[in-house]
Amino acid sequence: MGEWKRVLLDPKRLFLLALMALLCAGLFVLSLLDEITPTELGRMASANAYVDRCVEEWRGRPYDEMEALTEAEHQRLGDVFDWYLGASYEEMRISSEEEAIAAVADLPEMVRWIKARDTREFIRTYTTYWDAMAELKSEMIYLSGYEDYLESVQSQAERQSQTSLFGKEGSFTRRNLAKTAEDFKSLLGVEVEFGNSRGLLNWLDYETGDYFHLLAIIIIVLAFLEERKKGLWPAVRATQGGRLRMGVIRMGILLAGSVIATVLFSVLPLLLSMSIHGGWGDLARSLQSVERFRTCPLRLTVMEWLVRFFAVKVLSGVLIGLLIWFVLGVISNPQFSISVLGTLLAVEYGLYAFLPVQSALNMLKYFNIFAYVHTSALYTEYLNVDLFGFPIGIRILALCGMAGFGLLFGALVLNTQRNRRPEGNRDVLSRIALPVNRALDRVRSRLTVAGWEGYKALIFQYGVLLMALVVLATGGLNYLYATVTSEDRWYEAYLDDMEGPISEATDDYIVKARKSAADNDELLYALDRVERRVETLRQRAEEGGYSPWIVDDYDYQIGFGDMSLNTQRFNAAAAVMLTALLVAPLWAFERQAGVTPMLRSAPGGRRKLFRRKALTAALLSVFVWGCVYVREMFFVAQYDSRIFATLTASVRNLDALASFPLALTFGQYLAILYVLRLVMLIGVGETALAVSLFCPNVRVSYVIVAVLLGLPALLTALGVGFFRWVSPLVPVASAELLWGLGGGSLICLLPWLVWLAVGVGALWIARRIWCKGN
Amino acid sequence: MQLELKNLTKRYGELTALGDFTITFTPGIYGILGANGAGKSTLLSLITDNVKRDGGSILFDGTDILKLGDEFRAILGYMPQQQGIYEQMTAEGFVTYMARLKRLKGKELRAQVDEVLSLANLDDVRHKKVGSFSGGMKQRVLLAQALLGDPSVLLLDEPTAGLDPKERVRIRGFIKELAKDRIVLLATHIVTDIETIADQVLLMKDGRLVREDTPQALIAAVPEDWEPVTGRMSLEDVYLYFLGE
Repeated sequence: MGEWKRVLLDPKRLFLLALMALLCAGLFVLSLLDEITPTELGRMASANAYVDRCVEEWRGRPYDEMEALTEAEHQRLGDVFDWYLGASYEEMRISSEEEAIAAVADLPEMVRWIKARDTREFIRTYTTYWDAMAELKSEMIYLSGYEDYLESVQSQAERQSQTSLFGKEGSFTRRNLAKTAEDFKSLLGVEVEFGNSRGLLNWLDYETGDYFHLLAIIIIVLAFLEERKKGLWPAVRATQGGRLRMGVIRMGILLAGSVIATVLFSVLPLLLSMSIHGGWGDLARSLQSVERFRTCPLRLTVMEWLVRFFAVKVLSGVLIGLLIWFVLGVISNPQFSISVLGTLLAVEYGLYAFLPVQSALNMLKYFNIFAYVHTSALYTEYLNVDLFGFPIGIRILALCGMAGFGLLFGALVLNTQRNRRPEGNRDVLSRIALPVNRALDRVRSRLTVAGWEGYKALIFQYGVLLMALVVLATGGLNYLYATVTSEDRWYEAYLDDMEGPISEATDDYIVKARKSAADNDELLYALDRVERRVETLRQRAEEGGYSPWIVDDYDYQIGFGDMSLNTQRFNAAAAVMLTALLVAPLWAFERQAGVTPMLRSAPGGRRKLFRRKALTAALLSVFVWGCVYVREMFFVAQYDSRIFATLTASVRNLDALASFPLALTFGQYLAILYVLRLVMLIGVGETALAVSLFCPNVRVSYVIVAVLLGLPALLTALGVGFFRWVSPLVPVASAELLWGLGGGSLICLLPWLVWLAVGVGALWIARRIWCKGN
Repeated sequence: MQLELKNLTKRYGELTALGDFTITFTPGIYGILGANGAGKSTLLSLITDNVKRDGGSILFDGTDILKLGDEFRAILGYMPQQQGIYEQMTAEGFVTYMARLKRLKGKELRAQVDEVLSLANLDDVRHKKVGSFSGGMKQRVLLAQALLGDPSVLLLDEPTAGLDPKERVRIRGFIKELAKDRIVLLATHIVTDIETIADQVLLMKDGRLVREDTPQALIAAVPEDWEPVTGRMSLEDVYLYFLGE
């Protein structure tokens, strides 16, 4: 019982698991939102209530009738949208605010933004309702055609098996056709029903929960190896129950741990998703009623599938745990064992994520640790892989593999637990390690102090793994800052067409456009606005002494202006947190190793070492900057390349930047923006470095920099206003400050100056303490 | 060459770790004897400027070491008492890293790394991770790094802790050889470490210098009616007599 209590009831571990559960739930909610604001949360809740109501009202009706109802809903939303944006055409159904409000009286968020006349929020709300209805429509189309789909699978298999194009008799292709038809035969006659699937679908999309599950398993397995770290292994091994019996007990703990992890990171997000989206009553439907399970050949209800899925999830956790336990347990050198495990996981992830389904090696994709991490894919994807010419379903393959590998790793783990000794084991790896170390020493002997600092950061402090994490984490950032919906399509279309320097050609264009617009009031109205705009720009440019350009405000608004505020902040928060975590171990590692007195006694161990540490922190910050902001540049280049056509224009051509205090082109403006972000991020890195100097070990350093720098940034991004004053987030994001300067507000300079002072000040204090003594 | 400590004082709150400590070191081996907490390590930390002094001065050839800064550290070799070491590095890697910090380069760096590893008897294990070493082997790695740069002032804090008798004898002989033209301060509470090699012995208690003399003179200073603990009068008797422990 002692071991159970030690592992499962350890306060630190319990706290960590509880924190992870909260984070997992929080990230799930965030994954449902386009922006992280209370407004967005309210909008999501309102859209969900709207869908719930429609589902309840329409349930049981024929599919064609339901499809017509969704179209009517789209029509209703579209009418209000057209009216709001000032469209004018003959069939306009709405002509006043009263009529618009009456038309969407049951949609409180729409009414709210109509009344507030907030175009941005109105468009976003409209899009949310529209998309929700589109999802329902897509589900109806799927359900109405499912029976035909099943029949088509059978007839297609029959047809294809009669032609030599699909292989000879006895070939994998022919057998695969027959197996597919056979698998789907069992589904013939299955009754699919319309219902609310959003809760289930959003939960299935949330893969982060699977990684939390994996992390929890790793935490539990690491608890088994604590005795080695604390030097208690010989003592534990010398006790009566310290060998095989301990191994068996720990297997039980691993199973219990996997159950707990499944509850925290799979069941709870599902419950959360269901409570947000409704859908409790629809669990008795057949599994295929949910479009994602279209190709799942199991004849089950959703509820039955969930029970089976959770059981598989628990067993997957045990299997992964046994594998990790075996690798970490059999290799005595902790750093080497972690490196082996890291490499193994990286290779497996690479195969899982990047191997094409059609590849001849696709078995490695599904016979893979990550197939056991993302267990839901085994049910939502139908695929037979070629096993010596015979088609085997990936689900069956993975489940059989689970049993086989479970037994194998279970036996290996017990064998290690029983026979592995704290000292004097036959160490095959050390024979390999020696020549490897010899070769590495030859390379390392050429490293300068800066090279050594980089090496320590990347290898000894697991910087490489953290950097891989940074690449993965920043890959999930959102750069599509705002809903790309024009407020006035014709006006925007003309501006798009005319974008460039204002010249006589501009006037010619307007004249020609007027001719072709003929009597179209809508086009003429838009052209009037264009003409006024051209005039304003000319006048402003003359006064300011720069060349007038037509530049689409909207492109810059959604890229770098107010419309992208929340996403800019969220991305900056991620950049701040990741930079802080990457830099956190730099000094703390030295304290943890206990080498500081020795380092400080060497002639290059003070100022020189300090400068090299600062350089390493800066380079790590540059890396994060590259992952977040260079990626953003690529995104902008790819999706909004028109911005690059205006790089030579003055920023003052943009309304929002009309009062910008410096005469800059857009190219210079963007260069300054990205350089500012880089400088601020380096400032964050140097601040984290300074904090790290005061931390006794790496773990404490991670916690402190996360709390001091990362957490306030995340809270600011989540909308907790107070923290914007104590976090480097706003100066790192920079866009809103630079945009604010465009409005002539010089106070926007303050956050940059303050955080620059903080970074420089922290570095100065740290330098003084390290170089000058205590 | 001389290292002069004048009225050196260090306090930790109410506790005086080192009080009014005055001494001049010239080339030779100085054994610093004292119980745990006597102030031996504090003294070495003050000389390495790892601890800030509260009073007094440390002069190397007449100039304060704080003023000399890196110039002083360039002629300093320090082996700390705590076995602080990068467990992930190989012995050669660690010594090479320290050599870089001691501003050694190119062929000179490689030659010195080879030499100190050989002196510390680490040749056979130079490519093994320090984390897999026994306490004695780690101690030798720390000694090896202290010898880099041919230091004129060598500070060794408990250099033989954890070493087996054979290794201790070897290291002692080696330190004796090193002492030519160097100031070697050897802090320990193991009397036999310094009995045969120290030119001078400093007896410390509660942060103060109780007595300083050659081992022979100290032994002679013990009264004749003192009953030797090992049958013949030795430094252990000096330790017990003067330090009362």
